[in-house]
Amino acid sequence: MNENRIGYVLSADTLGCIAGRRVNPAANPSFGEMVKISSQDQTELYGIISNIHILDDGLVRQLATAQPIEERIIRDNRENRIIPLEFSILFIGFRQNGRISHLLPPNPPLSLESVFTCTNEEIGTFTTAGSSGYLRYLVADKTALNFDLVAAHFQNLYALLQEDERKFWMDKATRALIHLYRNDYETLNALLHTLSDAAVFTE
Amino acid sequence: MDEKVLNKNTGKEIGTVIGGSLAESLTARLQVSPQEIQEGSFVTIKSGDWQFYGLITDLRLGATDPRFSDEQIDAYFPPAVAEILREEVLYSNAIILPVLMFENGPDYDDANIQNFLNWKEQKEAEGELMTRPIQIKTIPAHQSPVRLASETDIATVFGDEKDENNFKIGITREQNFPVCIDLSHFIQRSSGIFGATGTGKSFLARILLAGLIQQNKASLLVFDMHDEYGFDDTASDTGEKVTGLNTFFGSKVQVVGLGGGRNIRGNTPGFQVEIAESDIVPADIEMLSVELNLKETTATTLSALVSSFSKNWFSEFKAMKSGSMITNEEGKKVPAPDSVAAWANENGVNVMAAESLHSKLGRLFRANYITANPSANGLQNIVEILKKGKHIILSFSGYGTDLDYLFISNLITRKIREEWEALTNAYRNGTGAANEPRPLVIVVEEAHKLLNREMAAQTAFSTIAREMRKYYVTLLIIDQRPSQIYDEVLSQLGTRICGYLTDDEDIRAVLSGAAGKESLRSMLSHLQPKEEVLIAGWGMPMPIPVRSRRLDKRFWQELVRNEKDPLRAEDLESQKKKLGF
Repeated sequence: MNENRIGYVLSADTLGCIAGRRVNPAANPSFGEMVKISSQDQTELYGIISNIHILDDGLVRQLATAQPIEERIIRDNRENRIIPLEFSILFIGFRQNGRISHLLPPNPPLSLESVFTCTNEEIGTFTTAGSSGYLRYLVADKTALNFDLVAAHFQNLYALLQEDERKFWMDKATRALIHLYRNDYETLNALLHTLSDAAVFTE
Repeated sequence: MDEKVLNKNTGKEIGTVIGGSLAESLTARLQVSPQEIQEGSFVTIKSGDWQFYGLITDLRLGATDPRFSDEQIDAYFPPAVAEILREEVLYSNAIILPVLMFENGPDYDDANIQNFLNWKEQKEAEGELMTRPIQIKTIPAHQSPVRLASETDIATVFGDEKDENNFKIGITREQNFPVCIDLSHFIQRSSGIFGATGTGKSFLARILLAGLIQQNKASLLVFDMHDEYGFDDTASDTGEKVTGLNTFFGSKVQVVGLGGGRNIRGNTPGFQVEIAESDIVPADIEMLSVELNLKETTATTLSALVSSFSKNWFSEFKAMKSGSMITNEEGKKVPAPDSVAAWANENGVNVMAAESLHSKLGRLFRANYITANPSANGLQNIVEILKKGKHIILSFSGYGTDLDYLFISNLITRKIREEWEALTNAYRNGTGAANEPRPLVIVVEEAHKLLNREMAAQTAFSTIAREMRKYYVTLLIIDQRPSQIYDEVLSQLGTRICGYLTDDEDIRAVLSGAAGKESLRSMLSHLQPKEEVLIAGWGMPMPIPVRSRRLDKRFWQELVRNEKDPLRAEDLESQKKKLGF
């Protein structure tokens, strides 16, 4: 399991958490990636990375004023300093006693709880359970970022699922989203344009 | 889309109820393409233990937001998204006119039939098990499933084709399920067949008449203005041979010619009817006031003629000479003794009025079918044949003017009215061994000529339409301009069978007095020009558009198969007599 660890929880609430890790360009988390976090009561929380933050400190700000910055200084700053890479996670469900729920978790994770990337099998099991109800958490605040989050999620699923499962899932998830916003022309229009741009419907 | 079929008695589910009211209509969201549904489709709605029956009267396109309707969905979205978007945000609603309701218990399939049986047993024990649908009194709940009617639903409402009292009038337009009419119920009130010219009114009338004859429900008197009903004919549009009622039913149907020595399309009629001059009464003439352009003085003159000559007034008046003058002893020109003027002077009648009437009656005086001494009492023959349960088709071959039609049909109908009133009164008074009178249906083509606003009050037909059902006589009127028929008569029509009509006034007239007429109006205006009719009113539990049967070989073959065994009927009668009934 350790090889999938991508960070540790820094802060959390019921809706989501912020996790951090050392910057590693080769293994940094990706926008839209599904993760899981163990919780206090043997519950596995599932979430999606909804934002990634590259933080600064006083030195970085000062370095930015230098013209030009030497390559070794840039590399040193990225590889040796201990400013964490932070990423936000939206909770989309949990598994408790082997049962998957597309609901918010009963308890948020504690700080420094490990954040793991989900395996393909876990992603498949979670996303195909129920009727894609977890998608509502992705578009809850109707921001452009969240529409792209959905697009990223679709792209991930497109790459992950077998051909025979792919169309079924895409149709089901698309229908669930359209159903959610069928009375909201602006939101649905923006969401579907974003999804269309994700180029997962080319078949 | 999955078809939810609970058992073989339920039709395909097409949507769910999303709103509506009892006073207006129900709205159902369609789960199927609107092309699968047609205006006029007969649908059922299951809500709890109740089954509701209704008609789709309108189909409407809708969108969760109108801007989706305008959106060029295919241009902006991939096909997979566009397809789902269309399904989710664009929809079709069906407007349903609910008409009947029936408590038929819970839905069931093979697995839970016991629930239904338990329900049925309990209802039977309580004496509350319904046997037939009733008029709608409440509405189904939200989200109740709407299904296309199954063959069983159609049979529940309109009767089973296998029941010998039911006669298949046509089939439903979508699924070709047979739609029946209870003819014994149908003939209890006057009825009408309407449609623009060329829409098959006469064919449909022949189908109905064949059913009435085959089921032996009533005697028929058909005023056959165009010689279509008795003998074989050729369809004007298809060129196919059309079997006549006399050809098929033989001696049960007597074709009667008007006047002596004429044949009907090369066929010899059963007998010829001539009108005795003594049978004509003033009312028969007054009824022709429009056709003969009679003046207001006509009634006075006719009254004086009857006073003078009693029953022979027509013969005597006919024999008078108009304008004939002689010179008297004083050398003055005076009216000849056999002149109209002489009679008028003697009886205090205005000479000019009498001479005018004489002149106008000239067309009747010259009619070949009116004679002083007919070889037989044709009118009485017709009445006797009808009383015996046989049928008369009175062909107007060669006498095709409106005057002939109006005069003959009214005169015969008046005679029949008198006879049937006497028969009914005798039956009701219990005098002698009077049997219940044989129901009689008088079939009138071009009915607007007899039943228009001016004529209706004067003819026997209007009385029949209004009152004679108590005396076992009803009308079946066939017409292409129902708007020309007097409202009071039209409102008395029980069953209305209506084909394609284009005129708004005609459509309005046909639907006068009908419930939900605005909905039916749209349906009526969208009927196919041929073979589709809307049947509504007394004879049908609820209005329904049907594709009418074709009057072809198959029709006659089916009629033969359904023919009741006369021996069996006689046996039954003799058995009843033996048992003292």
